[in-house]
Amino acid sequence: MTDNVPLVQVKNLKKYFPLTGGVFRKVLGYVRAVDDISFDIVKGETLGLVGESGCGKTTTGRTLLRLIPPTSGTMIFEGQDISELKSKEMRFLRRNMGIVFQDPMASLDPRLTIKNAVGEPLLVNGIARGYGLRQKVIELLNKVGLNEDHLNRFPHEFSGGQRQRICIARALALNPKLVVMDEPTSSTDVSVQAQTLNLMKDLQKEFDLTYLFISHNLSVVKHMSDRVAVMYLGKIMEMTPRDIFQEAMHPYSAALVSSVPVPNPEFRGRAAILSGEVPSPINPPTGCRFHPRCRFAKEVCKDEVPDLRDMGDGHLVACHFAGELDLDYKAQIEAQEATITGR
Amino acid sequence: MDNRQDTKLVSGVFYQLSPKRESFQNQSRTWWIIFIIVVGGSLVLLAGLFLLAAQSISQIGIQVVLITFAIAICMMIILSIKDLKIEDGTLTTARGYALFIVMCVVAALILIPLSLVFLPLDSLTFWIATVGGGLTLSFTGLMIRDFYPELRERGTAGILTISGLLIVFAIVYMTFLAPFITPYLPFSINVGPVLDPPSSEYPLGTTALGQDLLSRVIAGGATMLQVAAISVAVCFTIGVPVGLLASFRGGLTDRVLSLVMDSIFAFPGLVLAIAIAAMLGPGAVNMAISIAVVYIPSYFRVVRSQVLTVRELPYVEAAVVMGARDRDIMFRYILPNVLPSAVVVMSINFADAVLTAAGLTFVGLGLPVDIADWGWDLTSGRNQMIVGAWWVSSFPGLMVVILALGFTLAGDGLNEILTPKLQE
Repeated sequence: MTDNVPLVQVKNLKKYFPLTGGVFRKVLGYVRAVDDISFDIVKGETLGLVGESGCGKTTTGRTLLRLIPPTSGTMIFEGQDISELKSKEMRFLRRNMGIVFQDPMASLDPRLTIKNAVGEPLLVNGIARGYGLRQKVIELLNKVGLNEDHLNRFPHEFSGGQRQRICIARALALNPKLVVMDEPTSSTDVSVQAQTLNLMKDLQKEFDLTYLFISHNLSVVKHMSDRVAVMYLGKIMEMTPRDIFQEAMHPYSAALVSSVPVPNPEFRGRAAILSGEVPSPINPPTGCRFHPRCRFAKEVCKDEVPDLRDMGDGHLVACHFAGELDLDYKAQIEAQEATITGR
Repeated sequence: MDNRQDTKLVSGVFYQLSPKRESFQNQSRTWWIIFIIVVGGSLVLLAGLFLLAAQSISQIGIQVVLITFAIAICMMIILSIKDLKIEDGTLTTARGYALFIVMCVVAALILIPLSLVFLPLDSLTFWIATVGGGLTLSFTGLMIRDFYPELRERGTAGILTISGLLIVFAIVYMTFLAPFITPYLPFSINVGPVLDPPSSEYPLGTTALGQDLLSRVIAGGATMLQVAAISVAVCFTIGVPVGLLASFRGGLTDRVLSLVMDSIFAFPGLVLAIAIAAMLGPGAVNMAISIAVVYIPSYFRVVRSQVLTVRELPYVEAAVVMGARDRDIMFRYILPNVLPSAVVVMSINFADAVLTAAGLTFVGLGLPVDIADWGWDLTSGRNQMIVGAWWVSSFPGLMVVILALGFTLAGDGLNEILTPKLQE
């Protein structure tokens, strides 16, 4: 399935939101939502993007689909630079892209029946209409576990999980190559979440889809992704094809991993809980963005921005001391495993 | 399906209340009360109409009323045939309605030469009365017949809409037929004693000029309706697109348009209307224009703020991702979600326009004295209140209230029906 051809290449992508004030809307500063990140997404894989709230995950996804224009950097989609494309040219490329939003209620027009909502992409692109459209919509609904009876209902008549599946059906209507999943399961409960995630995996196999999976939930990302990228304050801290739970090499990733709760009431582990607040992206720290909260921070971290270094197997880490630190989160992991195996 | 066809044929209020022999005994008390109110109310209205027509000054009142009924019945038959054809599959719905509109035009065209032949002098009035009245009746019938079963399922909202529209249609019908059903000429003075209280000869009394108030109440709606309809139409067609454009484009366009609208909004409404009406001179259209200018900003502001909210919603972004054009997004996603708010403004606006029109007449910028107008009677009646002549301003005032109520009910109900979310 994976043939190592990058579908998307992002290079030095930046997105700054200007902060304006006063009568003449003078620019007072910038929110550095995404600050110089680069990554590839290979055809057929799932890249998980994980991080705290406000770290720029969603902005990355939205910029990638050109919902908002990037400040600088290039985004290459199937060999074509889309960062500078006009909106008209972009419109045609959009057939290859889909998006699933966090809040399924808000992402469905309350006025459109399910038939119209799912059929809309086919209609606006002139792919199908009339009876053919209806057949296509039924086919899509069947794929996500809904049926013909639901065609003429309105979004408010469905449950959260069903709505999310409708959104997935809509995203798949144009047979896209890339689908951005923007925290698709964070508004549903755990059982529905599992169901939706498995549906997405099945659909990925069936349609040979490429996912950019954005979430703040590490376990979900681990379940879904072939590779995981950890973001912090607009920068990618670590990107690994390995199991992030086992082999986190960046102190921040380690902290994230150890904060995943252990389903064992007797466990009193030393979760490396981070102290302090996330610094403001308007005025980010110099050097390594993580240094004010890092227990291993040294002088060099304040002055020099660490590059992403390859630690083998394409495991990229942006830390001056990658591989040299005793991250000490294994106790947590072992306790988790102990719970799972029943010891 | 059978049931549905039944409703199609004899549907509407009258189907729901139709006496079925086997079910006649076991109806609830509420049903009986509603039955008596609906049937009794319709009969009283019809009897009143025919009584007025029989005693009217025009001599041909009954004939005119009958012609309007004939037109309405013809329309209903055409509609039934159209529906049968659609159910056969020989006609599509859109074509059916197109055919209906064509039939309306043809009926009107046939009636013009007829009226010219039979009534060379009064032909235009006659034509307007019969065709207008007939069409109003047809639309009332159409509404009851086609929309009632559907609206009933919407519960209170449907009932509100239907009653509001019925009130408005009734007043429109009355206004169309006014020249033929008034007992006296509404504008001729000294038809009776001055300030006569309601009596059998002058059912609503007379004004300070000795005019018959009943005739004036029947005929007085014309200006109000004209002014309200024109001003609301102008407001709506200017305010909504401009608001949509401003907020969708954003930037400089938005700033300039907002500034203009805000500066209009900053004036007290009636004062601005008076100033514009004074500039344009008296007359129904000028009144409508001056009222329209005053109310455009309220549409603009409501639409603009709504668009700003809707535009940021994920489903609009989803539409962008699926490759929708700007105009698709504007007209398919944003406008339908904004329109209900505009409709609500419209229903309030109708009532406001009616009241502002009365205000303009009050300061003498409305209409010439010899045209019957509720606003005028309301104003002049104010002076007679002191001498105890309550009827002069009460009855026209009541009509203004009923008309405004009709518009408000219809607007409110429509708003609820047009917004699926509120159905829950």
